[in-house]
Amino acid sequence: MASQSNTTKEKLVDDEEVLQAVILADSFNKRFRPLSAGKPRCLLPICNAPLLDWTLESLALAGVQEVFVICRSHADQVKEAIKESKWSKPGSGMKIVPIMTSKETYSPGDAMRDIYTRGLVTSDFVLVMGDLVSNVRIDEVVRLHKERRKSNKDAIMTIVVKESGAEHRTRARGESSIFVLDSETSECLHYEPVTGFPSTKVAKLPREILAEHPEVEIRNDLIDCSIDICSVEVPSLFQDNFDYLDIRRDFVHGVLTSDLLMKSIHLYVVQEGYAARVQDTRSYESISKDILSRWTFPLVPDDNHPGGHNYEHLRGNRYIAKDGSVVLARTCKIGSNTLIGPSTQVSENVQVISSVIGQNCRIGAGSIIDNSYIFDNTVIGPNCKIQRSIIGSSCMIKENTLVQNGSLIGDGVILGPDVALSPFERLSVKRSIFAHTPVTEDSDEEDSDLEAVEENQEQIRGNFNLGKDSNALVWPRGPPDEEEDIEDVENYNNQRFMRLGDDASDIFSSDAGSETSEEEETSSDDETDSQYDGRSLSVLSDASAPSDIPSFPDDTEKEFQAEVRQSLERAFAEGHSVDNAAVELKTLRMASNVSLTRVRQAVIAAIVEQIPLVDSGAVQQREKIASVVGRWGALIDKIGGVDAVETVGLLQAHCATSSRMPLFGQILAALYQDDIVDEDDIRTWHGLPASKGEDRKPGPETESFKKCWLIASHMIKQFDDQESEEDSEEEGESEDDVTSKPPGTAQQQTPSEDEEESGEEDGAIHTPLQSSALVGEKTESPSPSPAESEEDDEESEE
Amino acid sequence: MPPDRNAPYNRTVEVLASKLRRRQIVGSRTTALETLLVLRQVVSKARFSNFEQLVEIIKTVGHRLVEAQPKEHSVGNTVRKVLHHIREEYQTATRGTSIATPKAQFSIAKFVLQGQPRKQITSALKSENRGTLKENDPDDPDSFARSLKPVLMEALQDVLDELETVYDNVSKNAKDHIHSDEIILTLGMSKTVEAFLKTAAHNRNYTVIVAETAPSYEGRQMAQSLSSAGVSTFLVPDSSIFALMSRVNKVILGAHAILANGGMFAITGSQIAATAARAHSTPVVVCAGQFKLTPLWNLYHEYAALDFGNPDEVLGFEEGQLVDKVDVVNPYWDYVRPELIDAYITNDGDHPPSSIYRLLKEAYDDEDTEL
Amino acid sequence: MTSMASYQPVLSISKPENKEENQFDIYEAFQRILKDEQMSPPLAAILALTEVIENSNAGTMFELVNALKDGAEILKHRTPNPISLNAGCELFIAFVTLLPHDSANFLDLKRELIRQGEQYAAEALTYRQKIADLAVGFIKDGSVILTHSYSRVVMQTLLLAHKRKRISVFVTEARPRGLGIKTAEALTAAGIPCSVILDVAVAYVMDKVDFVLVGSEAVVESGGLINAVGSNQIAIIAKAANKPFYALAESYKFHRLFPLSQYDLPSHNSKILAFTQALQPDPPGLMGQNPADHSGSADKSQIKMSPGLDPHPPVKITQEQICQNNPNVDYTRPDLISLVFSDVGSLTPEGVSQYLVGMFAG
Repeated sequence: MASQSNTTKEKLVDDEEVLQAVILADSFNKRFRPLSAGKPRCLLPICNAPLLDWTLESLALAGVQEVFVICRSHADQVKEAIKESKWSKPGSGMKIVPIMTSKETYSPGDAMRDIYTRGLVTSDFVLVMGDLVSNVRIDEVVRLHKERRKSNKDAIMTIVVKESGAEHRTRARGESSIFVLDSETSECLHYEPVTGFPSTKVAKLPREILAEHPEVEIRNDLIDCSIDICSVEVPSLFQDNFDYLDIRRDFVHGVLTSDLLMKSIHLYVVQEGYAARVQDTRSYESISKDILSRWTFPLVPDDNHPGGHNYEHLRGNRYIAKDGSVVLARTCKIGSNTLIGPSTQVSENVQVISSVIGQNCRIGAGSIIDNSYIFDNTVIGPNCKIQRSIIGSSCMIKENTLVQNGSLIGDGVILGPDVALSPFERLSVKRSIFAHTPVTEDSDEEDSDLEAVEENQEQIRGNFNLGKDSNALVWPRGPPDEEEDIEDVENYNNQRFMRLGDDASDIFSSDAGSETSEEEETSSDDETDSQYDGRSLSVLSDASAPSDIPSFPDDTEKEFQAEVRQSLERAFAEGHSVDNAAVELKTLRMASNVSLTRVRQAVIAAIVEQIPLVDSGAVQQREKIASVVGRWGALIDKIGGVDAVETVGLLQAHCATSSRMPLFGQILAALYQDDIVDEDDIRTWHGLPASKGEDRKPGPETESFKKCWLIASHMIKQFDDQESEEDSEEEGESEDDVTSKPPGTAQQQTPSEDEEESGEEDGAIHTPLQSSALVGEKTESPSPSPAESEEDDEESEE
Repeated sequence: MPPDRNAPYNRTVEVLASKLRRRQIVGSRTTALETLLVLRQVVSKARFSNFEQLVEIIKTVGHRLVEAQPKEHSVGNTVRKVLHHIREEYQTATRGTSIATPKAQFSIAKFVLQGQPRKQITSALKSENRGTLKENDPDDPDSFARSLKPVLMEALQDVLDELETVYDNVSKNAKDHIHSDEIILTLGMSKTVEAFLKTAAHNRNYTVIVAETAPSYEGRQMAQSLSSAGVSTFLVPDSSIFALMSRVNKVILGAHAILANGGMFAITGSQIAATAARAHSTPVVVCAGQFKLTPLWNLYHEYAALDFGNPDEVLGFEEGQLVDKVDVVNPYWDYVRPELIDAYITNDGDHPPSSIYRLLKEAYDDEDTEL
Repeated sequence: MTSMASYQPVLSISKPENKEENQFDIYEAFQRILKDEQMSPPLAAILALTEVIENSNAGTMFELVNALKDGAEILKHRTPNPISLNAGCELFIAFVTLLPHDSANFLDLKRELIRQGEQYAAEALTYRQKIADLAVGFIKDGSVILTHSYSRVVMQTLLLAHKRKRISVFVTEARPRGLGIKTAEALTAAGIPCSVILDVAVAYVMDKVDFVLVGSEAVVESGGLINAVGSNQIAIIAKAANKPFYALAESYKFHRLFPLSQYDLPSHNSKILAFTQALQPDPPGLMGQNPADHSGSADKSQIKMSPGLDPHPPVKITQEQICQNNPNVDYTRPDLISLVFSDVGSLTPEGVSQYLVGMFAG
């Protein structure tokens, strides 16, 4: 042990392996503003100890010996706090190295790249956020991880998740996730982020998962505690993929969907133990409650308080500082699940209900503190009422003030007297008051935020009165005027799910209706409408994709399409090999995080557009087509998956909207010639309702769709003919006539395949994920249908 | 406290303290052993030039350890025991050379204190002895420590030996307590009780009923262990304890801490068993090492003295909707009143609850009660 | 209980007996010392005995001890309730007897003894604080405490507890002297919520109480307790309700006495519990002939009879009469006592008895 207290420079070359951990101490978001305006979030107290100390204690509990704390905003404060804490004393058993990262580190991904550049980690390490509260035996997970690594070098990461049930106070509703895992190996097969708004209702999982794994679990009942056991490769992967921002949404999703990386990620579902993250004000509340109800044992106030306080545990989970410095007036009522810090005074007739009160606070006579969190040194005047709010440190709430549901009051605010705040109000002091804090050199974004609040103060505040002595600034309420990006997890409505005291019921009610009607047709019989609110999700397999191919182009899609086109143009122009072009496409695909279908669509579009239109005659045209398809057709199947049926569908869709509509038949024939599609694929596609353009609105495109379909009908007829009489020669000549031929018997073609297809659609695809039904449910993948097995065969041929 | 902040043994102490705090070390005997090992290091590394300094050092260390985990009473007990032994050794070492008349110190107050039960009644006379071991030698401040340390290490070794042989000594008379064809009821997974029952099984053929002991279900382990040792064992739910009691000949329990009034802290469920036994006039016998003797009076209502574990054992955390609405508590210990206990079988004889008080006075020095 | 006030009403009754040859009157000295509000009878007795030594011209240890014993005897006879001062005398005499004396000069020894006595009395005044410190640990925040009558050590403990904890107190009225009211007044003045209850309402209030805390006149060898009358019944009720019964006793109140019943107490006398002589309804003819009989007895003189011709005159019983008929103290059996807090630690009743044996066995 003693040998480890060497300087940072000479890196632990001990024989016994040191367990390292990396804490990302920055939140990279603003959910705690304005509380986090003057200090980093990881130093906000929860149950009277800074979050970071809880995290460090959690790690110490797991036997971690060396910790790197990556801090960005207010890094000096973090550094100082670590220096002052018990951790830097000898014998703490843990070495803590604060790492200041640059201001340009805007995401966890950037931080990981920073870790890589600095070469901090030398072996498998534990990656956690600076807001973790846990009593999980992480060392056990690390052991499992290392064991797995011995047999499988590609298992780069183990994610620790806690089973919780879909509706749990500690489970973030605004930002949760669906994990698909192999029940046997607990390999994570798929990851899908879930947001509260826009509420995620459908999760898509790649069909291959079901094919490859006999038994999978699709779970929507896990708390993602952001404890990751990472191998050394992980930071380097971030380095290689500079566009990974978020660890879950980008990295995990990226690794799992990537066909290149060939890495796997495993899950560890914690059965015993507690782990959760204080990621927003709502989870702040629920984790406070969890700590007070001792779920985090032995990390509880009376036993191992990370702040080093001693609390006495009284009946009803009341914790009162033990040093006898607390003054409780005789008539005050201290409710259960309450924590009262040292040197705090509670006056007569005060009611404290399920709340946490910091050190050195004073609560005036007759006040009611209800489900609230009051930081150190704050004074609450007489007859105030504080409900479900968080009050920063050194605040002064003067008499007869009402602080309602979900308000956040920043450090040092003076409020009142006789003020009634409306719910969800956010207050802070002016910037000038923060100036004395040793914040920073260059004004970072945090400051600019505050500046904006300050500038618009008149407008925001309106004629709202904060009391005659108040020094407070009101932060903007309600949704911002221009919502930047609705897809972002940080959008206003989604934030509401993360907000203290907000049940966001209006969000559910507003869109639940439309959802229900939409889903009703596909939903299975066990679901009832009343249950079917926004909290339930469906899992869709990508197999259903053809029906919605043309329905999406939005910005990123367009961008991607353009890039693919450019890339392919370059490839065509410079004569790259098919393989090289495929690699380029894969990279592009990962960068933009789009599905395979999109890539295929783009590739087909590009190839079709590549075919020059020739006026001189059908034969030349056919030659052109043959040359292009012969040269590039293979690319379609090299982009990372083979789905010939989809290929035909996409071709049809593209041709229908393009000037190359007349070439459809010939291109299809060329693809057939080159074995990119075969007869059965065409038949299958032909049988799909979508291929006839049935569910489209009437219009020129639909006409084109139908024409294409007819052309194909003709081909199929030929196939049928071929089977009886061998006259392959004719095929080419009759092409021009095809369009005029009536569909004839084509519609009755291959009825058996029809059935199979639709069967697959209903069974495997629409698995309505009702929260209650989902818990721990194992979804057995259906045994591969004949159609699928055919495809499998194809794949193996490729 | 300040003098030893940088002492060489500080790290060891701190390591143990944080382990205790994090509950990485649990169980009375394990903690007692760990504490003793740390104290041994402290004594061997500490620098002191007179006896008071040594006592002060040990007390300070003891205070830190007790502070770290006040609910693990054997930490404090071990420290007290060590202090007691060290004092004794010191007195033996100085006796004879220092029969300087103690009369000047004799007073009514001292006279009153003679009432304190002690092993050596004379000790009251000697407590002020100072001396002949060249204490506070200005020329060689370490000489005192040097000459005393071997004796002290021996004293520590005695304590260690006692701890190590505790199971054997508790169970050496097991066959006298358990007769053939008796039915014994026990619960929890006390190592002492386990050893006791297994030893008795060498000579007697008897039956054990083990209650499951929810929510930790340690009783299951116990049942498994006993049955694999060839004892005929029944595992029953806790709720049937009362119903079965009429057929039970003896209740044998383990203890977490034995308190000065003769009551004890024991695993949850012990109180049920003891009360049920009382209703049927079934004898209740507690097996425990003397290191569990704790100079604490249970403060009948001292809620905090009972350890409260993780509610997870009672109600899974995944029961999301319940967790929000129900307060779940999981008290780990029961307090069993002395009236409900018939005898303590310790590694040093069998005692009724009423003489625990005397044992305590003999085992520890009064001045160490508060560490 | 132990307050000196308890001796005043009875002073006039006991008659001075001047058996003492020398001028020194130990009883007067005792009374003088007791005037100090903080002084309790056992300590006053010890100090009075030191004065005996001072005034004695004994030349040998034997003579000295005899003189002390005589002095103690006088004190005992002249005070109506000698129990607690007995404890003090006993302690001091035992100390003197057992003191290893190799001093050549007997005068020096006497001086040493006097010094010891005075020193102890001074030291013993701090014991209440020590006990309060010890007992406060047993009082949790929000406790409801039942106490009985008035006791200085209980007062000190409650006031100390009040500094840290939110306690409330029920106090019995403690008839006939009503000292409970004194307790209630002092506690209320200190800001402790307090309520005086009737002695007969103890059983009614017991369910609301967390524990009972009483002082003591003496703690005896059985581990039992001698305290103001009423303590015994409170202890019995507490036992029935499963509430702890704590007694506070300074170590100088440890008394070598082994009462087996209430009537073994030295304070018991024939007047206590004497039945009021029911007046025989006199035959009408004799009515006027022996009025002297009625006025002759002090007891009967207080029963006023109507001079009318009513053959069954209404009988009136006065408070004083009840007082005289009743004990001042009673004895509480050890099995009813949960713990005794003293300056030598908290003891179980068994512990007290072992302690006493240890003390006087030398």
